[in-house]
Amino acid sequence: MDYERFAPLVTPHTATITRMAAALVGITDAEDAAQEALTRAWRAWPGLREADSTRAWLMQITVNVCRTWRARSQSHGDIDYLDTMIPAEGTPLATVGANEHITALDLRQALLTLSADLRQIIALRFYIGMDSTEIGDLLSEPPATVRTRLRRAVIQLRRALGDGRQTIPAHDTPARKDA
Amino acid sequence: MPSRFALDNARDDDIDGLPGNARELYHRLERDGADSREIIAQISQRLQKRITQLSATQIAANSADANQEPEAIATVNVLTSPPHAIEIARRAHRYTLMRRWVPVLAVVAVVIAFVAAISVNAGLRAGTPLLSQTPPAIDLRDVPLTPVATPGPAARPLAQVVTALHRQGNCSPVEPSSYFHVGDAVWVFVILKQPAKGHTISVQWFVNGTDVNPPSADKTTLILGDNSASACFALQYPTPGKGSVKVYWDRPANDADNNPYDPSLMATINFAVLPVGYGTPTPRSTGMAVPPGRIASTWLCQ
Repeated sequence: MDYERFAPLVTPHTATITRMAAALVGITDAEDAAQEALTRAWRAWPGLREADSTRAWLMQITVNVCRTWRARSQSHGDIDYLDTMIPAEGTPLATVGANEHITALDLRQALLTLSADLRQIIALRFYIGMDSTEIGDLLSEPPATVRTRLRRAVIQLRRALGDGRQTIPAHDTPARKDA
Repeated sequence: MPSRFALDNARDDDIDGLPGNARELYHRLERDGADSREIIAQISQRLQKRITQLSATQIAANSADANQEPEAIATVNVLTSPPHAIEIARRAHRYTLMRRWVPVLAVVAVVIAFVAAISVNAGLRAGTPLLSQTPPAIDLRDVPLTPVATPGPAARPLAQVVTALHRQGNCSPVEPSSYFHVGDAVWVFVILKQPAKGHTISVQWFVNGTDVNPPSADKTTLILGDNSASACFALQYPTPGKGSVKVYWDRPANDADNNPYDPSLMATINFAVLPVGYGTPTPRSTGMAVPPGRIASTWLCQ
């Protein structure tokens, strides 16, 4: 493939590459991993024959890079995508001042009650921003299955929040400043 | 009009099959994940810039191959980062090693600092000036007292290459010199005959013949913009030795060898990096090698 076609064919997939990298190595390392994937794609670009295969080809490179990345960083086991977003269990909610924060912590505490696979679906959809097709690519599942699991996850989360001690509507309640 | 909290790819109709109270939760999740999605979107935008830069580098290289004349009027200096997968991998590997060795290195650094402090104290007490230390054995036969560049095959657009101790304003050399001390910034100024928009100037730094280029290519490469007819680069050498810098014109990304007849080579300029406190010597030869230094930092002048 001619190098002049690299930008027009690859640029539309940068968001997917980034999300895939974030899902595989975490948001913190996503940029470096995605850059490395892009560089590899650039070097291997002359070997790509079909323009229609660009997306799948880029995804394969990204997955390979991220696997190597994780092996290099010695981070074995599955990534908990919400590691950096969900506070540890038992974090006192009273230390947080604003209603929005309490609501967010409340939500994230409830997320911890979900099983790992449902939490993973929630994370990929809402925190990484993948759609069901991308999640399906990542987990080797049909998009319809992903959507079913996502629906189940949201309903279970709703139940978990309903059983909780403080559930504050996110937007309907005006924010107030605590003393 | 969707808010910034909305998922940007919500083509799945996830929400339609949900009961009413779960829909409200769906939107809460959308809002809660907005920040991390925003970070990812910003990364994605930076990746797009990277793609543009990669393409610009290649196009510039192609232009050079076709012997196109540079445009007469040009403007901005834009940083570019040609592909360096090997360097990126090397950098990541180096960081991993650094993480492992940081505690050990910290202890060693403390010990060295302690010994150095005692040595200095002892030297001062004995009234021995530090300048009398034996100078290191560095082969300085190729280092003139004033900067002299050896032109390469791609020297045609070049007006002047010079090394200097300081920079003033926008790429004006101050105190041109071939002799520097450890910790000094070694500045190299590349001045062209005329602006050359879209062409790339890159440098490769050496100490005692060993490549000591920093891992990040954007510190050693400039793509010329409007009215750009000069560029300057700087490197800080933490160890003494015979240094040299090679200046390249539209060097292809896959050209990594050190061939003196490289068609992209504009010029080579040699200089010496001396220990701190050691005055500018008369060039002499002892033929000894010095271990390669490590990059402390780099600057670019735009």
